[in-house]
Amino acid sequence: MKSRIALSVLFVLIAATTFAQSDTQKSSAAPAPSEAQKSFTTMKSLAGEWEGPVTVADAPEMSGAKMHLSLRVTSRGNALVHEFQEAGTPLDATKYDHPVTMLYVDGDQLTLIHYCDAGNRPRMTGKMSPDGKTVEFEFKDISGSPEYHMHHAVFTLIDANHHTEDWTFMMKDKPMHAHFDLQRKN
Amino acid sequence: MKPRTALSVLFVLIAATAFAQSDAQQSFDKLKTLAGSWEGHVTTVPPQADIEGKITHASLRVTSMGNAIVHEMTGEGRPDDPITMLYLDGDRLLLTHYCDAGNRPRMTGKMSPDGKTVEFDFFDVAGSTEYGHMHHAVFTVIDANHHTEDWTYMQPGDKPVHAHIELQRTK
Repeated sequence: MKSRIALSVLFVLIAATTFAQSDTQKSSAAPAPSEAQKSFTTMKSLAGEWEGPVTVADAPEMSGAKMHLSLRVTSRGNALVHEFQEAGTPLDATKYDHPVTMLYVDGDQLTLIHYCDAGNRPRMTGKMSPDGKTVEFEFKDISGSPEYHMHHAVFTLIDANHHTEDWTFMMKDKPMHAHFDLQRKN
Repeated sequence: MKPRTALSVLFVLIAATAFAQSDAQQSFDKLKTLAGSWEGHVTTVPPQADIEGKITHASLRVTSMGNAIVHEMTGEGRPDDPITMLYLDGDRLLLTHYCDAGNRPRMTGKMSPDGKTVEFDFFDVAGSTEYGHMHHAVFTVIDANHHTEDWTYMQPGDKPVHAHIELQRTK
């Protein structure tokens, strides 16, 4: 068993054992999932590739662009990787936006860290609505300069192939709201 | 303090700060040169028979307008896929490892004087360490198409397991 535990913790090749063991431990008396875990599970249902237009009410010139979104469950189910970029653009960080957001459960809180194109890393905590269709993230704190930062996010599930995202970016004290209407590509 | 002396002190402080930032930035820029897809074999100490010699795939991508590197590793025949985010935090080079074990250790990195190695030391960890945590990482650049990674996992009871991965660029 010790060697299995050792393997379970070894980075790339291991965690299967960790979770096999965890599952064994849970099987006798599995606790009910926390609210954070339920919210995270809902978020995981969005895993896939998505595309759709963005609408920025305060900046019409930024509206209409078709965005591509990738959501992937990683780290043996412990993290969800969210990546946005304009559809059809290559991965070139010197020319194109490509923010990465990591979502995970931290204790009893669903948390996201947004690795922003602005160079900072706001952290938000999320809660699911009673009807289970919306997960809303509120700003918690930030590392890096706060002058321009992502401040708020809402994920709304319409159906298995359609969801929306609403992201609020603060430009000093002025909020800029972007609405993404996304259809599943696969 | 006379104005001229005060100014000198101020410039020294500014220069020192700028140098520290530059050091972290240089380390970060070095790691960015590893952007691409890589493949190689893993060796472990103490040896782990089940994974010794297995093929590992690594992907490094520069994202967030150059403000972050996304590092991913997958092992042959296994579903593991830990993500490591590398970024500058003030005058520090940091990584956060989103571990398959469910926790998130942070480490701070520094480049060796010869510029070939960036070594990360444990800083802190969020989440349970019941099954241990990733504790240390070293990236060594051999040439444009070859680098190594050394990851040390600290098992419960502070028993380290060390994984060395020899990686060749595939694109």
